[in-house]
Amino acid sequence: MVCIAAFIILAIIGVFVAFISIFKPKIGKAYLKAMKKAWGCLWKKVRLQKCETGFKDDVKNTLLSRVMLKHPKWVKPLSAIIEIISVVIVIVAVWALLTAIKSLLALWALGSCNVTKPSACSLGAEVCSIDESEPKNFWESTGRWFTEWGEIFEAIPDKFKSYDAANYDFNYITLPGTNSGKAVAVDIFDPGCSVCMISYRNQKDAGFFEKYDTRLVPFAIQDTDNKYKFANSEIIVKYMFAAEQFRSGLAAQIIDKIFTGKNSEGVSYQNKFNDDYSREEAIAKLESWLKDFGVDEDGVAEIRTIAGYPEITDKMTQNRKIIENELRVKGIPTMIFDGKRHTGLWKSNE
Amino acid sequence: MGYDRCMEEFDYLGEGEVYLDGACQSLRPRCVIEAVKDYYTKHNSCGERVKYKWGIVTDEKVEETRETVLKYLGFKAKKYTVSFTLNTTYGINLLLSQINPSKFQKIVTSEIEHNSPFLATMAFSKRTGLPREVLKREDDGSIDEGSCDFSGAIVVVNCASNFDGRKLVNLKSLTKTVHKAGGIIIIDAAQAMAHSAEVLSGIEVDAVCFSAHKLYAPSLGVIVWRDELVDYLEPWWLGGGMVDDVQKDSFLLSAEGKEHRYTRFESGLQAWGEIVGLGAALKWLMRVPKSDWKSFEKNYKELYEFLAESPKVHMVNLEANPTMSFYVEGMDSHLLGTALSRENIMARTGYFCAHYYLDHVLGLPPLVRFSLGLHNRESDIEKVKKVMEKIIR
Repeated sequence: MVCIAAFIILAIIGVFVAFISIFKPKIGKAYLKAMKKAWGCLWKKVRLQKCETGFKDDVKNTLLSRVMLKHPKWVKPLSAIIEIISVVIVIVAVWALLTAIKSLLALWALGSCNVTKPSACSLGAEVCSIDESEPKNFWESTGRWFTEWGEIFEAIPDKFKSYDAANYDFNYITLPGTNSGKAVAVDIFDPGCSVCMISYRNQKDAGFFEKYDTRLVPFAIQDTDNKYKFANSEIIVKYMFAAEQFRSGLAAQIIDKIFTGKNSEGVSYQNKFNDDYSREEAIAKLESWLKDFGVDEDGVAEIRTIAGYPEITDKMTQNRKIIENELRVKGIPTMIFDGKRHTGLWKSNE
Repeated sequence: MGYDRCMEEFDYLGEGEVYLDGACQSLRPRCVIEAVKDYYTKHNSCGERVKYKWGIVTDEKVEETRETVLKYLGFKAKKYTVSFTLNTTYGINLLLSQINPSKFQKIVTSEIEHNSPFLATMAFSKRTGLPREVLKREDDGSIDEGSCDFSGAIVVVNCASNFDGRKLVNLKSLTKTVHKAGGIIIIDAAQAMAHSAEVLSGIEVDAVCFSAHKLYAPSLGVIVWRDELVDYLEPWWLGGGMVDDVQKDSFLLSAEGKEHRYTRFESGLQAWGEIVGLGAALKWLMRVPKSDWKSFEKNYKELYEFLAESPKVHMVNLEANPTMSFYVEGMDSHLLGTALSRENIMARTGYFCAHYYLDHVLGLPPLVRFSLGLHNRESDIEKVKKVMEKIIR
């Protein structure tokens, strides 16, 4: 193990030595020699051959020979400690290497280097991630580490797939004036997601909704424990489906209000729904908007009743299945248009 | 020359420096260094082919070295030829590569061999298809002559081991047995030449290969071979300095005649300076008085007894010898070697190219080897004992 650990350490410090050797070539030469020796030993070990007097001895003996002359009794325990440290270094290094490979693969295949918590990856696109619940102990963490590999490999074929937005059986809302003659685009969003909000504004400003027959798919992000990521997203989505059922175009007005509107204090309604409103206050706000949109008292009451129907919950469940299981979406907004899938903030130049 | 005089030959050794790796490379006495220096500064020349005076001096000294080698071994010049090469391994391989396999039925070696004969016989067997037999060596170093049918056998064995110095004590009768059965016997004498060449004295083996650098001489290999062996050889490794005449598709080897028989194994220019140095070393060795040998014997015996008495030390040797190998219980030998080096004690660690026997037959961990020489002083032994005591207490 010592020689494997030594090789790993040398490989790491190699970067620094390479820089230093520009100014001091002798150091570079000596380092290369040590590196070759360590590699020779490692290569032998890999092929299950003996590495009797290789780099391992040089490293360990240099450390312990002085101790042997002064405190011979310390040699055994110190030797054991060196071996243990070596094992730890090897395990950590192998784990780090595999994790780095996994992260790169995940970034390419899923759009985020963090499979469990996509928003935690600074290298990925700006998204509201569909997180999984945090592992509770070491064994769960270890198990998750392996299942993530499975998720990544499952997602790889999707990278080479061509998407047709019209093929997905989503429950969606339509924007007023939608022309069915245009190419279909699907836009999955959470009313509480700030990235979805900016994306929506960008799309609106850039005329995205005029260019495509956009199907807005409201989705309240839940983790694996079924907890909602944004407090009032569930009720908003329910009211949106109910309003859409009551009158086409109503739901689009609600989402436009949430994503673009501000209250009298200049605070965006999305923030109010996420941070300030209780469920009752959220319902009251939604119903007051419905009245503003021209729905009378009876109509509001009917929408309230529809929102409580199990069919509405079924619609949400069906969407969730498509999003999480079929499309394996790890973060939103996710859009499907022009045969491609786009996850993260949509910018006007895209 | 007294023992103190002998020590003067190694006056370049620094205070407290203890060299215990003579079995690999012995230290060179001043007289040897001077002889080599003389060659380079006084008669540097191409030997055996020039007419100018420096070359003549070199030729005389090279010729003298060949004679001294035979004298040192107690071999008769009319029966044996001395050829120079690189080292023992090279010598054995050079011999085996030219032996006509159709004249033999098997190749035989023993379990305690250095890789030099052990691997060379393995390669010979693979190349020629002749079976290879590995014989057991008894604790006293002898080979049970009844343990093998030596009919048509090429026997390649050492006459002194490189890890415990045990000698092939029945070499004389073994040689007779092998010859009687129509075989030949090639001896690896690398470890015998410096301190126990008498094991070969007067025994008519077919060839002796040894390294000059293990007997106080410069780096050089030597093949001493019986002239009759030429009947079993096929010319193969050929080149400069080997022929009397060359036609378009044929040649006449100089080795056909006794005078230049040595050229049979000497292709190209030789290491003339080293050969001259070997002559000086042998002359020096033959001049070392009995009292010095006694002091030497006292030194290695004292060190052996000290180690053998320590309960933590596991000796490979069964008896005292200038070459002794051991390991200390619970202690890595390479680490011990490095620690000794910190105290200026230079000793070899590992399996000393005898992997098969030490690792696979005896199953021993890597060892430490102390191999003493005439350069070692009483104070060296005291120092080694003191340091070892500190480490293994």
